[in-house]
Amino acid sequence: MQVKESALSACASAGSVRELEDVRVRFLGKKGELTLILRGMGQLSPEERPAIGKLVNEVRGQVEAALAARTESLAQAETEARLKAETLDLSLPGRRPGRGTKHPLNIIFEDLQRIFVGMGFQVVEGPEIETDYYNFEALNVPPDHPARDMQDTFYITEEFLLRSQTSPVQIRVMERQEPPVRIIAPGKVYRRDADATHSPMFHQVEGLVVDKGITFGDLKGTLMELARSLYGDREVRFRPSFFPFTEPSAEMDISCIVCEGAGCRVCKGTGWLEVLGSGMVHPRVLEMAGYDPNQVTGFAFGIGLERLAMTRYGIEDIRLLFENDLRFLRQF
Amino acid sequence: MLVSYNWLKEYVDFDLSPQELADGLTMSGSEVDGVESLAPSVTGVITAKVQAVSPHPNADKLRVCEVFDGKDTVSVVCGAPNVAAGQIVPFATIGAVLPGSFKIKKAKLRGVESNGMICSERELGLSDEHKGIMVLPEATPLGVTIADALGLDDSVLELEIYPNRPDNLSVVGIAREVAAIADSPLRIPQPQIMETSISVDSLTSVTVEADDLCPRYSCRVIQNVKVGESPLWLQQRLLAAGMRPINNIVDVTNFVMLELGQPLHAFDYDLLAENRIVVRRAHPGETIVTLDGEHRTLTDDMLVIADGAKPQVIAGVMGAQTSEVSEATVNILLEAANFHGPNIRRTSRALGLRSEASHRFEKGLDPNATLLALNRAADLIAQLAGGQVAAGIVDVYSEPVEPWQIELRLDQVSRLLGVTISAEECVKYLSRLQLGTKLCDGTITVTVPTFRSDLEREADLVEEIGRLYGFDKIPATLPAAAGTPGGKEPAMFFRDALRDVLIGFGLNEAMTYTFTSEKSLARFGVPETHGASSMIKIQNPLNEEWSGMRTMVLPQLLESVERNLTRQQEDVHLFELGPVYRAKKLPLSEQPEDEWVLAVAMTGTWPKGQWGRTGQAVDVFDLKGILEGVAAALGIELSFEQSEHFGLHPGRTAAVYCQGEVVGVMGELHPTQAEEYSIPGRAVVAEINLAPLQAAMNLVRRVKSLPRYPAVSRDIALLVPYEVKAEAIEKLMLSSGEGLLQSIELFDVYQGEQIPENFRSLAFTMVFQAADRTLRDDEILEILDRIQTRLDSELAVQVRR
Repeated sequence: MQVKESALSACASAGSVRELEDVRVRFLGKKGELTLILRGMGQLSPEERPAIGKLVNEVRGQVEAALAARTESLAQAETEARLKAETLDLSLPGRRPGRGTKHPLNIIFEDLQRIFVGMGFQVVEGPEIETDYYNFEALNVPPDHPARDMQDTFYITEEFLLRSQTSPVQIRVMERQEPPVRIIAPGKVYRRDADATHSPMFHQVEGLVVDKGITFGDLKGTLMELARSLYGDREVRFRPSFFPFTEPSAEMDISCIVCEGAGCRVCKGTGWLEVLGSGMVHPRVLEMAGYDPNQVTGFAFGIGLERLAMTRYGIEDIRLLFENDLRFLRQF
Repeated sequence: MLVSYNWLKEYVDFDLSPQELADGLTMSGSEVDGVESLAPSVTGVITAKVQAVSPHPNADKLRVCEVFDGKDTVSVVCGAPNVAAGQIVPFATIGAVLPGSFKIKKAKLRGVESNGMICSERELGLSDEHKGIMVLPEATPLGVTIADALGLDDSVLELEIYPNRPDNLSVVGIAREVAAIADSPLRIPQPQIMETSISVDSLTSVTVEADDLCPRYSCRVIQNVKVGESPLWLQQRLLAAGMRPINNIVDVTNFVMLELGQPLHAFDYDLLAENRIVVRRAHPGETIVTLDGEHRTLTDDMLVIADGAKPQVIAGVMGAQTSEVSEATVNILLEAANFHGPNIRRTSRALGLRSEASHRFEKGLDPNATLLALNRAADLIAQLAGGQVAAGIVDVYSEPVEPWQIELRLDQVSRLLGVTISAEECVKYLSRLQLGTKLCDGTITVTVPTFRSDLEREADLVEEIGRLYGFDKIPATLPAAAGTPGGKEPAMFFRDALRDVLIGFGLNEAMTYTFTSEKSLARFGVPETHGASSMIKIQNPLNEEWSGMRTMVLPQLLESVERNLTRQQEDVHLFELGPVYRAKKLPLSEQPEDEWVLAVAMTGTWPKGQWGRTGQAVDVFDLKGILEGVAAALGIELSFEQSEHFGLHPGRTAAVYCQGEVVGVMGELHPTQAEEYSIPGRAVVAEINLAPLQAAMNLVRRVKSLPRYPAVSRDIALLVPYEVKAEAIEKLMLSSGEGLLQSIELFDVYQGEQIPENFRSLAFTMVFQAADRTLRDDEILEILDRIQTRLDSELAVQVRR
């Protein structure tokens, strides 16, 4: 059968699905070669018909199968070719949606909130423009007390000032609430000081725990837990200090995160970084707030957020925190 | 305060290196900020005497000196103007190495051989002094190293003395701490005075007219002193403590102040009118020329030490030139007094005059310290200046202070510290601090010496025990559960939620100083009549730029935008959540509350262009969309009403409403302000009060069930006269929708070809839906007809075909 040979070879040589369709029409279409042969069967003798008919049908079947197989392989090749043509250079940069950033001081503050709220602390706030009474007197710093020199204060009037510490919130809370008290009080505070490591406006988080049976050991335990959450496992030490509103008073240091205690520029060669001030609430402060120091004891602490941010992120100049340079903000 | 390691050893024995000593002091509550070795980093520098000085043959400014080191004489060329024969000087020999690895070699200077160098203080790394060579005291031995000669084989501890411990502003005070740490006895100087037969009372008298400000005044008279240079050891002590030697009398008073913490003053006795002392308040307007050469005008709340005629000292602060001890002085009156600390502090602040004496007096000193200091100084002056000490002391001390007692209940120690320390141990620590103790029935009766004025009550003693026991030895515990639920105030919760939304939208959070100034407010165009211009002023601001508290955040935020633009950051999208301070009345008579606001400032493109995407210049609708997005996220309903506001573009500003109340403003920055802040394109800004938003926040919503029947959408384009607001059209359409018009969304605004002047085309997509059935076309057509009719009749808006 010549027709079979030529149909199969046309099938094999078709280069595209469209060419293949032409092949189908040429052989199997209404006027196709095989179709014509089948139509011409009437002119054959009855004896020849069955054999020829069978043969033609066989050929038809083979050609159809060949067409189908060829169609599939051509379609696959075409798909492959298309996909290949569509290949992109994925080393080109991605298109990013604008990424918003949180201010580093708020990142740290939210960390502190999480840690303390988890320990059962309430987060409360107080006014930044304070009275002399709450900022000093109720904290055991009467007028002309030398401790007033520890912080140079901004005054608005004789009576009002910009709070130099978040400690006044302690008093306000104790005045309106019975023990037990477990609070942190974050916020802006102000001192007349401006250089690469001091800002006239900065942020503190004050903490206060008052209850029956609170000890210096509890102060240590709580603050060591804080240090661990913030800095991981490193050495912590408590050394005696002085604050008018606590007695005993202590400062907490951690081993320097830059030199690991060997002594470097950041820790001024001491191997330690001062992290916070703390102490047992002075009995006079408890008394002035209306608590009985024979009934309850407490501890308080104050953390400077800027210093924490500077050590944590390696910020060398405190002013970067308030310049809002996008090249700085976008790093957070 | 600077304290010499060697000096401490004179009062207490201890076996600690300077660093160990510093650590011990720090961990027991006397904070050491640094330890510095005094030894200069030089080798080969010895003491030598300048035997002769002759002019240099070839140079006017140079001299040729013959220098003798005790063995050899060499010749050296020296350019210092102060070199003179007879001086003892630090001499760098050939081969000496000075700071900076500067090696001394034999040299020829303008043809004359020089065998070494006579050094200035700066060349030795001792100070910045370099006007001339350093001249050593006459008694300095020759041929010894400069470190030995200056007593520099020593370390200096820099201590931070807490304001409650004025007793520690002295070497003996620190030695007392060292004695307590090292458990070693303290040796306090015991002066031996040979008095003459002349009674001090025959030489002078003291009248204290203000004993409220001067609890005690003690003095001695010393006659026939020879004023001159102090011996080397005394000079070394002063230098190590950072003070300059002056003469033997003044040096002794300074030495005793450093040693015992009691300031002293020496008068030239013969220059005191009537040779007597009057302690009184200054007469208003009285003047004095202090030792620093300044004319000072006094007020009647300042205490002075006067003679029979006029003030000679501003008490506790600084003396006058008129009775200053000089080379000519023969007889001196030596004062050791006690003054009221707060008064000294006020005087010193009012005059802007601080001294080593005022620094000590203002913290409140022990009135019982005057006699030891007076005797110690008299003894030294007798020894060093050959003075003859008149018999007796004039001592005016009307209400002597006695040691006091505090009862310490032992159970209070464990109650506060959380560790049990035995009675014996407690007694041991307290005694080491020179406190008297008597233990009886679980209570220690502690007698407090008068130099420890900081020890007032039980808790103070617990601290003393705790710090000597060691804070590090106290076991760490966690407070027993108090049953307090953790949480935060609603205002803070709201701010945290708001911040997260804004950051999610892609804005950068800023934080600006809360200070402002009139200039800063004026830049933003705040009218003087507006409330925002009445800022709360600071009495003592750091500078003009920060002279008051801000009433708005935008002026500061725009300054941050400006700063970014000058630093080539062109796309700036900042927000700040922060307080502003608004006074009800000025000057402030009522405490203002911090009012928190949200401020936003954006300029440049938004979103930013990236490859394959063009950036769009930010406009007021981007900002409005952000605010609407925030409102949607926090369940707040905001509305906007065309408005005007200072600093903003009059046609592109809206007042922001929440629950019927104006809560803020948003809009495009006025071109004048854009220019003011050097913003090249347009900027959009908003400032909104947080309290009403927080009150309106609703994070818990009822869910609407999803529709079960299909929605049908229809687009409609309208020809709208310019003065008709889009919002009015939306409202009208919604109200005509019979509940079947679910939503309307604007998708196009067009002006231009085919649109008549003073008109614009607004195109909306309307979505119709019923909850209970599939809507039929004729129902929708009916609504559309009604909408068209109403638009036409009520707003003169036509449908475009």
